[in-house]
Amino acid sequence: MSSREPGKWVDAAWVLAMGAQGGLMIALPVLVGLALGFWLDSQFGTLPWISIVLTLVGATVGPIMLYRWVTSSVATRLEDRMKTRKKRDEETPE
Amino acid sequence: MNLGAALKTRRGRFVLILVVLGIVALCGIGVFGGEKLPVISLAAEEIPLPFSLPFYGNHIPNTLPSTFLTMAILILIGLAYNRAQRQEGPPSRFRVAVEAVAEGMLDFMENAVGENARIFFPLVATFFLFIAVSNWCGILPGFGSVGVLAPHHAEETAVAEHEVEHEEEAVAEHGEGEEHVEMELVPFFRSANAHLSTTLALAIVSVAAAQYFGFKMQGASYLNKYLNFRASSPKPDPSTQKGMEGIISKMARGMEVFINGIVGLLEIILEALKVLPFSFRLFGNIFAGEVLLFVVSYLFAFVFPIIFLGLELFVGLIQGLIFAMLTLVFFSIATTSHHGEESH
Repeated sequence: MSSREPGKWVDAAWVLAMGAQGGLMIALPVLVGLALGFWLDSQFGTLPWISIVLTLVGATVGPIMLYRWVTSSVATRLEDRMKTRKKRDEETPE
Repeated sequence: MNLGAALKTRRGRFVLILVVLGIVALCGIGVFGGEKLPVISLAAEEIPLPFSLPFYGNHIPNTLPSTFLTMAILILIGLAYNRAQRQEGPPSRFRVAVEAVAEGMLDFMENAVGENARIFFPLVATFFLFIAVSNWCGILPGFGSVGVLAPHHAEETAVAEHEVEHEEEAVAEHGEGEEHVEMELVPFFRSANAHLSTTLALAIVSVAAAQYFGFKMQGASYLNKYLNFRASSPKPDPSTQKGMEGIISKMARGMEVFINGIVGLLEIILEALKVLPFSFRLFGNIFAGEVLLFVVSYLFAFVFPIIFLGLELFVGLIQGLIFAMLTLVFFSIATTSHHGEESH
């Protein structure tokens, strides 16, 4: 194993990317729902109602999306890590 | 030592205070000397053209020239590398530098996704290079500051404009400024990723490519992720399925199929929604950086913006890295089959 340990950087970048994406995954659906609802309300003249419903839909979709995204990507990351570690160990026998 | 000795004398301290005050005064020129407040536009400004282009008409967004600038830089580096590669003798410094960057990226990706890295490399490395280079181009002098004066767009800043119109009406009543048209500076260049269309295009390409790689690696079984109409629990033994128990068991299995179908549909929607945070993050970061630099160099013309230029260099690289990493994660999720993940 090399002294500079390249996998460390990959992990750091992975955490950074997941955090950056995950934070927005909670926030954006709410805002998108609100914007869409506001637009629909202004089209139909039913001001608060569609906005409220779509904001709530956004608030539920966000966490679901985050949960599925985090579980699937963590599982994939662990698998990839095991694969790369095995490969590295094969390449550099003790 | 000499400076320290000089500072101990009275005159030395006086000179020091004068120098500091001079620097502060220079820095503050923007605050006290600026006449007009800068205009910050969320959408990319439109550069008026003397001729008409297909697709764009006689306006192009000012992120287009910088996108082409980025592409030109990357293509020129590629061509120069291609030439350097064919030269005899020991490799030139330029060739070594380009190879070091490419190898560094490949090494990084191999550590992240293993043997698939070589398949993903062209697209992911292009994303990284394009985003990093265009972000770095965004802090070149001339970006956002050199441009043409064009009439202000009324529809973009409707609220602010409304107030201005009122003021103008008031002025017009006094018989002044009838021909006063609000002019705004339209810069020729604006950082390519400070335009939502650019980042949206990148995100769509990334998510679409993930579907492509999913089909390529997993074949038709990739569709199971989206169209899943099978019960996830194992099929029960028919001999034990009798009477009421059998009916309940069949209903439960029917329910499972139904839920799996809904989950598959949800998966399609979520896949499409992924594009949103993906593109908004890049756009938000780069646009915020542009605004930050703009405001800081408006307030303090000298010295102070250098710190933020350094910060923007860093942010540009990190955003490129995050985008490439997320693309890798998408590809990796799409190409790895998760059988039985839904069952628990």
